[in-house]
Amino acid sequence: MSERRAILAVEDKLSEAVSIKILEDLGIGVSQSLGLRGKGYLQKKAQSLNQTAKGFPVFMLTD
Amino acid sequence: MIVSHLSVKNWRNFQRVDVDLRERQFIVGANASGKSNLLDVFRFLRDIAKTEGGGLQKAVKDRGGVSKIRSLAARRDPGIAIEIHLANVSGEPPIWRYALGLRQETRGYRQTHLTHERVWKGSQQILDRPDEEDKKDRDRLTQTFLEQINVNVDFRDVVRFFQAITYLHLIPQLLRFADSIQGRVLEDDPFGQGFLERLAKANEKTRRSRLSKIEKALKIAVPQLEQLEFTRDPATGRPHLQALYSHWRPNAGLQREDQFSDGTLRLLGLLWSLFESDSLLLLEEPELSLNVGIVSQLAPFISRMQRNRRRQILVSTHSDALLTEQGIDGREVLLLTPAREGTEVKVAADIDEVRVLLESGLTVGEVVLPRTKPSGAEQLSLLE
Repeated sequence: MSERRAILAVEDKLSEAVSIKILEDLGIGVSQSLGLRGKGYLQKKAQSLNQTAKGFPVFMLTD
Repeated sequence: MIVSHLSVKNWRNFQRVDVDLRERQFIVGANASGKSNLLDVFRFLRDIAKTEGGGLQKAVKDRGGVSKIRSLAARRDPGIAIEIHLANVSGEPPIWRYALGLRQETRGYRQTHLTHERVWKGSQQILDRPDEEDKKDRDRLTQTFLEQINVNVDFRDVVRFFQAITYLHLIPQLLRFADSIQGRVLEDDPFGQGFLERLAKANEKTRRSRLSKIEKALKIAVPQLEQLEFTRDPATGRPHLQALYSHWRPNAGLQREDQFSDGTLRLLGLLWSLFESDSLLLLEEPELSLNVGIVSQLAPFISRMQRNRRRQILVSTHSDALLTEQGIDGREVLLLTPAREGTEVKVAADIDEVRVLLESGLTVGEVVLPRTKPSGAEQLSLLE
């Protein structure tokens, strides 16, 4: 079975570490990390990431 | 012409590289991933082909010999090989192909020998070495045809293309303190030590026209700079650049290049190189010392320059700002990733996730640069 992969979009390093752990437990590898520039950046990029998610799984964590 | 394709085997950090190149190509990767070494392939070909002090043996010796050039990952197949395709436009079939293979003699003088040298014009091969003469006299394989004008008449266009390659990594301190250092200026002056001499050698009309364009750009980038001019010291005759900055005392704002800021000098060098010729230009981290607002305009500036002259520019960079331009295509970025068996080079658009993200409107800076960050980078701030 090929490895499942997802693009990660997070606010900061802490969210990144938590997300990687969650995905790891689900057997999903992270192929690309995005963000690390706060919540505003993710909000601004949400539309682009939705578009991306049509072709590739995206995991976004924000609070 | 541009280099439309590059293949290398066992060259420094790389065991294998096989990539298509565009008119504007950015090279990104972590520190020591091999960005400069990839650019060095082109400098190596220039060093072989150049008329003064060129040649294969010198180009190899200047790099510390074959053992320094050969990738540490090279084991079973230790030969070094380079192949370049030249085309009018990226994506078109090549007009020329030049291929070169090297190895070092295992005994004797341990000279560098060619394993092959091949040239194709279109689809027709016009050179295939070693030939019968080479087999009779093995010493012939210590020289390429690229460096011998009496035998390269059939592919002189390739020779001229390699000879004209320009590399720039201007180090402001070397230029500013050139007189005090009085060191040897390296051949082709890659670090800008003899930059003022280069300016001085240019035809006066051309120099004035270029400096006028550079002055316009500097007026935008450097607050209070009002005028830039080329002068000669009346006593020594040495060339200098002089800038007038706005100041409430007339003539108090006159400064020579030794008082220019690092950023001003680097921008000057960068702009001069961009205006200087139509040949392949290799730029090493042009963002250094420059304000982020200026850096963010470099990519579109390069692109606009290329509209007037079909010049290929390869840029190595670490800069997010440089790569924020929405117009940068994923095919214009080479991503260098260090791996166990040498650095891997991929065109960013060939990586599925990257392509999808770029198509969704994210920029190369947002998508590709995070991939170049060392995984434990945050540990650096914890060191005591």
